[in-house]
This record gives sequence, structure tokens and C-alpha cells, in this order.
Amino acid sequence: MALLLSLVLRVGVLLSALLVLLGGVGELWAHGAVPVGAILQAAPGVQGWSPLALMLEAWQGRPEALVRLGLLLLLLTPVARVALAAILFLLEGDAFYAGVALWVLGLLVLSLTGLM
Amino acid sequence: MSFLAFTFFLFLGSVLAGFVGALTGLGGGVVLVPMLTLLFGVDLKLALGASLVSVIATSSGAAAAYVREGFTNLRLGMLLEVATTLGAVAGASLTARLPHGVVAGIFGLVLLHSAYMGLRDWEREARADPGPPDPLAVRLRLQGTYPGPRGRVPYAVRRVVPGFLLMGLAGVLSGLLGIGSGAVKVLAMDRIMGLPYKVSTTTSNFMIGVTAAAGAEVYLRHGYIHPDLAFPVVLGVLLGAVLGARLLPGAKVSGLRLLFSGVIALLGLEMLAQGLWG
Repeated sequence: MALLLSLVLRVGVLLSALLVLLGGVGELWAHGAVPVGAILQAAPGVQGWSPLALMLEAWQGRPEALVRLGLLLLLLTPVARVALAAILFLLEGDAFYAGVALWVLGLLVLSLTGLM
Repeated sequence: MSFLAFTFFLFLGSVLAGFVGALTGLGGGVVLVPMLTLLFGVDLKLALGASLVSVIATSSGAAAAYVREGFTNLRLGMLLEVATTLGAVAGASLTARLPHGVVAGIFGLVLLHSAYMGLRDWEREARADPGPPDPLAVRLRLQGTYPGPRGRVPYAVRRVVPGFLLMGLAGVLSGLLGIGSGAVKVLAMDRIMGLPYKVSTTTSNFMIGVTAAAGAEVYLRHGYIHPDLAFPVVLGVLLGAVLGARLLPGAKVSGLRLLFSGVIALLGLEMLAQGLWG
């Protein structure tokens, strides 16, 4: 169980770091010389966090969408870890801890979708 | 300062934040928030958004190593996550109703007191008398082993219910203040539940990512997570967290306790300042 959980965390972190790095380099390439105050005050060029819209924008070559995709993936990594733990506890026949993990997963999904 | 130079310095600072965050179990935010607001003059809300991202990055980056090496108590971590996520959701919805300054101020005082207690007896490996193992902990199979210098060391878990309740409080604080929930988690596991120090910090590190994710929706919705601020933070914090996780197995507990006390003293002052000046 520990090995699989560790693997999910590693893959999630590496993939999101790669996306963030690619997008970040693109952002620096485009606005590197701009004063930082202007960057942080300007309304972001890409709005929203919908994964599909972000993928489309990233495909169109907007680096900021790549960074956002990477951040979204980073945010979902702990969620994936909890989901995997629930499955592994179920496979081990450990109903109590499978229930615990499912409860946490349910709360995470409810809060991330804005239902709570 | 140009965006390029800012990104470079923020990346270096984030490496330090991730390193300290992974070694203390507190996450990168404790170092990152004062650095961003005081040193770089970034708005507090954007700083808290970046801090949230850094907490998740530290947690996942370091936990990949801690879980594999068997420092983290998985069952205990998952069980306590029930309390922290509930608390985080409750805390986030309380933000509008509770005065932020008062909560921050009280939490600051508590942290300063804990830092003082920690500095007073930092050389001690463990509590002199942690008390008897909790029968509930045995029924829930929470006891475990962790890697010591000569093979794995078994340990028991104490006071499950008070520990669980404190985790709920840690979640509420995380939802209300955005940072600092790791401090309550480590203190509760170390001082109340009587766990070995490295198990306390690595299990806290394991949990803070989930607690932060539970409160993330509010930050996303309000636009507090700025991609141009977050990208050097993520990359730097991940590098720092991986370095910290390399160092932890061989690190002396006394040194880790000293670092922890220093960092929560800093966090305490930060919270007190937020309480006094908003």
C-alpha cells in the first residue's frame, strides 16, 4: 500500500511540475522584462479553472493555461491519493478504513465542486 | 523589479520554504507568507493563495518519500483527516462570521507559548512519561513502527479522542486563517498522542495536503491563486521538499525540535501582527 500511494504522489507531483515549468518558461519568455507589480495587478489573461477549457487554451499556445493545468493537477494529487487509499483498503478487506478514506474523499469532492 | 528577477528570487526563497516545511511537518506556507508580504510586497490574499499551493506541493513532494520509507502512520493520518477536512470546510464557511483579527491574535499567543515550551526542553528525545496506550488506539490498529538507527522501532498511540478533536480545530484554523494548521497537527501528535517526533511531523506533512485541498475551492473561486506567482513557488517548494525529505531520516530529533520551535515562534509573531494590525 505504501509503495502505491508513494507512486501516485510522485507521478502527480512530477507531471504537475512539468506542466508548470513549461507554462512558466512560456510566461517568462512573453513577459520577463515587464515590472512584476504590473503582472500581479493585471487581471489574468486566462480565466477560470475548468480543465477542458484550460486544455483547449493550452493547445492554442497560451502558457498561462499550462501553469493553471499544472496547479490543478497538483491540487488533485492529494485527492487521487485518498481515492487510491480507499480502493486499497477495500481490496485488503479493511472495511473500517475504506469507509474512513471514502468519507474524506466525499468531503473533498463536495468542497472542491463548491457544493459545500 | 522585473518579472524575471522576481521569479528567480521567489524560486530561491521557495526552495528554503519547501525545505523547512518538509523537515518540520508545517508545509511551506509558514515561511512563504511573511516572505511574500514583507520582502516582496505582495498582497496578503495572493500570498495566502501561493501559500496554499506551496502547502500541497510540500505535502505531496515530501510524503512520496516519507510514506515509502515508513515514517508516516497511514491509518492514523487517514483517520485524523476525517477531523481536519470537516474542520477546514467548517472554518471556510465561518470566515465571514468570526473576526479574523481576534482568531489570528489568540492563535499567535498559543503558538508563542508552544514555541517557548519547545525551546525549554528541545534536547529531550520524547516526553518523560507519555502515559498508557489508549485501548481505542489498539482497537483501531493505530500503533506502528518507524525506522530508527538500528532497525524499526515500535510505538503506541495515546489519547485518540483528544487528538482527534484537536485535529478538528487544526482544520478550522486552516480554513479560517489559510496557514498554520500543521503546527496544531504536530503539537497534538507529539504532545497529546505521544507519538515519536519524526512520526508526528511526517504524518502531519502527509495530512496537510488534504486539509489544504479541502479549503482550496474558495481560493480558486476568488482568484487568490495567481499563476505567475504560483509557478516559481511550486517548482522551488518541490525541490526544497525533496531535499528536506532526503535529510530527515538521518537528522537528530533535537535539531528538528529546535527548528520547529523557531518556525512556530515566527508563525506566532506573524499571527499576532495580523491580529493587531489586521
